[in-house]
Amino acid sequence: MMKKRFKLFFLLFALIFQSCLDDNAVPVEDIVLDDTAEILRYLESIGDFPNTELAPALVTATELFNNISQYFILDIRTPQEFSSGHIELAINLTSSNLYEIVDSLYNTHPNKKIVIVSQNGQASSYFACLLRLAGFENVYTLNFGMASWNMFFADEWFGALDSVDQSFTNIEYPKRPFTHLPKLELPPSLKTIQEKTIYTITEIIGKGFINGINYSENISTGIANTHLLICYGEVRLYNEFAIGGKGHPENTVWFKNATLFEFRSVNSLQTLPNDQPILIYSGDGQLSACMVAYLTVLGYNVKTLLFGANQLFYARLNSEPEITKYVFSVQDIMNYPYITGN
Amino acid sequence: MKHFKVILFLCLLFFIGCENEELINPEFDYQQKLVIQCQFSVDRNFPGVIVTRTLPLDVEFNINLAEITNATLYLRINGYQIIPLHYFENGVYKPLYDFRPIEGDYYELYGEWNEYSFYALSKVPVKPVVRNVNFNSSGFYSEVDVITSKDEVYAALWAVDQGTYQTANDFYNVSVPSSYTNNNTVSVRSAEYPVEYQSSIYDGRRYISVYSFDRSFDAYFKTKTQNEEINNPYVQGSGSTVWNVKGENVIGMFISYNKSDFIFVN
Repeated sequence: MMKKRFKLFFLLFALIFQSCLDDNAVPVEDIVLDDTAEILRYLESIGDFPNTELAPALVTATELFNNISQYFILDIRTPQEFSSGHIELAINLTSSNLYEIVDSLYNTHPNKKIVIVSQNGQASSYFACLLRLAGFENVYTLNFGMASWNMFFADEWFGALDSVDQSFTNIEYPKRPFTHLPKLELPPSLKTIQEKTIYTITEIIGKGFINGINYSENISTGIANTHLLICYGEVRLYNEFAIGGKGHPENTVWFKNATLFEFRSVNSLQTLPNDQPILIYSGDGQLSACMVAYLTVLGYNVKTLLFGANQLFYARLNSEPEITKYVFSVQDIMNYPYITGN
Repeated sequence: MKHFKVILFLCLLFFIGCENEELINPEFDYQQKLVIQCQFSVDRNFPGVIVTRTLPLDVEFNINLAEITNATLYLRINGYQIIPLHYFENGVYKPLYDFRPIEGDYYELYGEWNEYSFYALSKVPVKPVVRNVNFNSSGFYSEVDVITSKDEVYAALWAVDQGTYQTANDFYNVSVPSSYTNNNTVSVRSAEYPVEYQSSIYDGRRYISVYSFDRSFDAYFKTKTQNEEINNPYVQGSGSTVWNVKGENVIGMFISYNKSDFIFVN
């Protein structure tokens, strides 16, 4: 009898206790918006320059020569290279003070264009892209660099034109599964997204252009095994349409640029590995340098293949009409005047 | 007997302790709530998320007052892919570029605005697979069996072909599978066809369109009328609408759906 009562009260007790639980208590997920996501949002909010047709903001030597008064010319080559010959009125500077100078010029002359000049157009494309990401919409890069200004500066380009490796394939390698964005470690004193972004960009600019790799020099070190190789561009930079075509180095994954822009957040950006180095090639190395700038800001460990497809398969680049626009040749050299000294 | 008294005492203690002291609040202070709205499906680009706030009763609704223009919103797809959403207009936050949701993917919504933060999750349902289409000639509605998929519920609209399809304004009910697993079947019915389409004299064709939803739609559908304006003085609301957006003082639905083609009934 006692046991029965005990059980009855225990049941009542349990019922009352359960009914008192607050069933409106909804657990709110921890909303952790990491810095990389914040920076991605900020870069999109100011136009997402790398993922548009504007990238990499090329200016041809002819455009610059004909409208030279409309441009500030910032030459980022070494003082020795600068003194051996430069465009008249060009300012020589190092990458370490590039941001401050562009910021100053932008504020004092907001309507004047700024063109960054390097030896072959790839470092300048890299820095121009970083500066665009920082919000300077008037920054451009000289197409093919000083090599297109005068033959005197074209040795590097001509030295790179070759077909370095014939163990290419037309196999289409799949993209990796989606994964997290890389983690950026930023000082906690930075509060706004803009502060975080500008800090990240100025840090990267200060390190100089260290993200370029010569394929021929590195193939023997097994770079194709340690890096994820990416072709960024149109299909003919990836596949060779001739019978038995050999389009790209083994294990290269294709990311489209035209129309799709596959590094966009809504596309395949996050199929890039956050724990493996990445090597990107494009047609002439200038677009890939820009994409490397963008991906470096997002925390990826990424490098550009210098001279792009010009270094990988120059003969094929010349033979396929759809991609001859990426060829560097004597037709691109304007032989405009230059001055020597400081 | 002693035990009996002790237990009774304990019960009373717990019962009193559970009283909600805030139940009666004579001052009906206006509590601003953040309102999140988003319905998306695989047949169109992601439409964006609408973020507004409730306004006091004495303030006429005006989107310029209600819209939130400086919230921070992200989508996260399948636990990885981050897609920032940017303010567009009228409280709408969109991705910078169009994209189309893919069935089977999980979408999470993260957001912050001032002291508010919110979160929601929705799985994009698969297109309903239908069997056994039937017109119930006594109840004047159509019904089908749907093969279930994990974490999905189902509803249907009647439709008639009048050159273009005319459909019901709302669902009759939401059919919940006996278990939220794959490959069972569940019966789904439409509301009654309007009188003009019920009779055998009607010489047109009757159709049914079946929708699949994330399972959180069920609770919302069953309670959605509870927050509406009460026009009948003899009726009072019986509770709150169940929203799937989580967050303190945040209400709203972030829900994905999929739908069948118009299925011919008779």
